[in-house]
Amino acid sequence: MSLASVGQGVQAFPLFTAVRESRLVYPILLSTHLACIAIFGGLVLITNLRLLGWALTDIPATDMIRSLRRWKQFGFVVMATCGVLLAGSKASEYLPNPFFQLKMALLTGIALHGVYFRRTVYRTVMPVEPTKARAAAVMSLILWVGVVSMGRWIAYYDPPPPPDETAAPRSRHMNLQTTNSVRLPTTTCATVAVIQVTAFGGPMRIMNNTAVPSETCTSIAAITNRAARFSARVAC
Amino acid sequence: MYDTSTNFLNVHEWAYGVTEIVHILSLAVGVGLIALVDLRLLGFGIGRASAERLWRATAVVSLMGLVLSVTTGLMIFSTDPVRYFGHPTMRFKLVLVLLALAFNYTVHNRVVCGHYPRKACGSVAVLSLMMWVTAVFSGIFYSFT
Repeated sequence: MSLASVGQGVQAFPLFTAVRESRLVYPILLSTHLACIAIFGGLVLITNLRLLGWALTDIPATDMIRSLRRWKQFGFVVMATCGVLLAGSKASEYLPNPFFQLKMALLTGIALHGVYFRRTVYRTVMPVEPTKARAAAVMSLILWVGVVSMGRWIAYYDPPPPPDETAAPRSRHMNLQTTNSVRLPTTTCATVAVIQVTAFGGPMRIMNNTAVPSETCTSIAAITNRAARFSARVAC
Repeated sequence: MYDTSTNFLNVHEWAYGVTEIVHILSLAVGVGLIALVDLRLLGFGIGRASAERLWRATAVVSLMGLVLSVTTGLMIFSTDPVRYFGHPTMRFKLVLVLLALAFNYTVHNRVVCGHYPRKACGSVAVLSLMMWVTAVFSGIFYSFT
């Protein structure tokens, strides 16, 4: 089971399907996700500038961290909610995307960094030790810059082309739809069923390139499809 | 005559991506620090420092962020100026950013540094936040409309 097929399953959830198919919700979520970076990024930045000792050094770092915590949490929840909806609605593209994977890894890194510096920097009541503070700030800046960069880079990834059906006619991915060949309107159940029947025992390629009726059609078309596929496999 | 196909960002896809990333990151620096001051004007955030104190401490960094953001924005704009300028959403964004910048360094600056009633401070902060958030929204909606 590939990541893409897991993604197919995820993005088939009604909520994610609704997001993907809405013309307005998707850009609104994306804008909110980005606006959160713009608004709440400043809170992360000022905390790190303070920890580095470059700004507002007369205010104790612990005071600043405590007074900004609620706002950071609020911003993160809004941002992450939008992010989950955005990624979930395109899960089959996002999960196999190496930049998305890297982004998730970096987010895990942020969580680990938070846990690691929890006692010494983020939740301490004592004055923060300057070396620890600087280490935490540098880590945080690198990780957040990485997360934002990888987020943008997701759009630049070109997935590898689908495997060539002629080269491997008995591919395991019989249900995989290919982009370079015949594509029927998926709603035309009758057409699909007719093709399945006429392709009976014929070249497997035609069947592989036909839409899978079980996704859109009634059970009769799906059963015809199964039967035709099975018999074709036996015949070949 | 300017030929967009010779533009460095159009020749190298990675450069386009890097410019976009810098645009977003510098936006977070510039707008984020202004938002910090706005939140303080509304009475939230770092209570130990006044809005004026926060603004003075962050003004240089936020200016650098805004300059970088505008520069990278113009670089992206230069990849296809005719299309960008002809698009109503992008025009709206350009005007809005100019207004927001002007607002930030005139009215906003004055309110932050002076003694004004709470209501005036609050409305200036809300207006500033709304302008920047709308600018971000119009940047995204440009590619969806």
